[in-house]
Amino acid sequence: MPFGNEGKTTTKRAAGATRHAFPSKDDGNENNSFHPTHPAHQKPQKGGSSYKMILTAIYALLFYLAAAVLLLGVGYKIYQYARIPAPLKIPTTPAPTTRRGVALRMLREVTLFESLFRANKWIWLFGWIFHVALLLVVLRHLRYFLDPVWSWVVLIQPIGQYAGFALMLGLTGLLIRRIAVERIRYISSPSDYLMLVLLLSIGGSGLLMRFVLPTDIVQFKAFMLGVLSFNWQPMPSDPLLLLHLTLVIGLMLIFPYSKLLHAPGVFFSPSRNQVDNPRERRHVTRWAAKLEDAA
Amino acid sequence: MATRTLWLVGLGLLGLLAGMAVLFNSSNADEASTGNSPYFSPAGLPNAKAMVSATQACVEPLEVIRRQHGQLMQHQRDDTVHQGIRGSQHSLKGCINCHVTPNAQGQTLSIHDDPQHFCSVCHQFAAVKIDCFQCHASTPE
Repeated sequence: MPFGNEGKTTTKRAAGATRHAFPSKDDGNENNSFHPTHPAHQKPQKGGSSYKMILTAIYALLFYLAAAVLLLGVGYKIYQYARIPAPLKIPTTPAPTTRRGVALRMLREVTLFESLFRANKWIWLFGWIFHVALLLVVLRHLRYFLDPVWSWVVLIQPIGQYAGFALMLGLTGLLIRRIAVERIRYISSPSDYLMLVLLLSIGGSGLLMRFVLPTDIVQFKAFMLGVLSFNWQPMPSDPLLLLHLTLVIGLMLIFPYSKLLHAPGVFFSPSRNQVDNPRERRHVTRWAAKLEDAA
Repeated sequence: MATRTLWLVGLGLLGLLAGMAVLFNSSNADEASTGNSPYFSPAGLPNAKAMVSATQACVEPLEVIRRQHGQLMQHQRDDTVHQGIRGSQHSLKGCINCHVTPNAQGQTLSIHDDPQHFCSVCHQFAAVKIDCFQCHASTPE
């Protein structure tokens, strides 16, 4: 092993030089008994660089698979949604009478969850908290995919930490509702619970990594950038990180086949995206217009 | 019914995968101690002045330092400030004294003037803002 700087008092900085390539077989101080992850308090570990390589390969491949399923799956669903005929003029009234008004209504719908607010205040409260928190948390995670990190991501990054707790609060509220309200429990299917539990587990493992048992995020970012640039770097093998990633990959895989499709689906809801102008303009779907032309 | 079975199978597979990952990991963890797998560090990270002992680079194994240096320093701060206990090795001052070295021009610059300051290289890479140096000095004494 190169101990290039041992005994020197100063070292010139050379970019790209090997750094920290020190062996650390023995941990020299025994007086740090406070932390559970301190190696002195763990069983001896076998060296496993081949294990780490296999782990890295598995997760890199899983990420490619999950990304492909997510993008192609959601893309296909959007294609389907866009082609499904909406033969009737059925905007939920009172509805805007102009296209601009519809755009505004849709904007309110996806940012404020307006119709949910009118329907049920409790679901709106927890649901809205969850979605906004999820947005902040996801934006915070951009730092693992960008180098250098965009300055606005750096700026909002710390907010995402606290959004993590809001996310758990929102999800817990929604889960309690599903279990405690008998009417809702009766109509709940396994997938309804699965989504909430999955998201709660993702949030829980993430918060644990942030506040209790951190992983090596610099090494993890190297892995993530490596996955993106097809130049794989070893990933940290902390169980919490692996759990977190496995669950996220699961979420990506399940997205195009589940109720999570409400995200693209809301934009294709005829009752929300139609202009209320049946008297001004006759509503004819494309396929119906074709039949009329033929006749 | 078929949908229900599908859900259960999917859930089971997911759990199995997670379980296997955890199981494999606990039986065969980090190879930091073998030393033949260098950690990734962002370009420009300066070297420390010296190793802490003949066999160890830093005051804790790198596996620990890279994850928990923040917690370690905060713990020592609480010990020192609340209970007056000094002398443990996890002081911010200790990190600075060993890790902050002169640059190629021979100047030792503070974190505010040097984008290649030891602390800021990784924290910039990970988009973590640290407020240590609003009060503490970022250069050795």
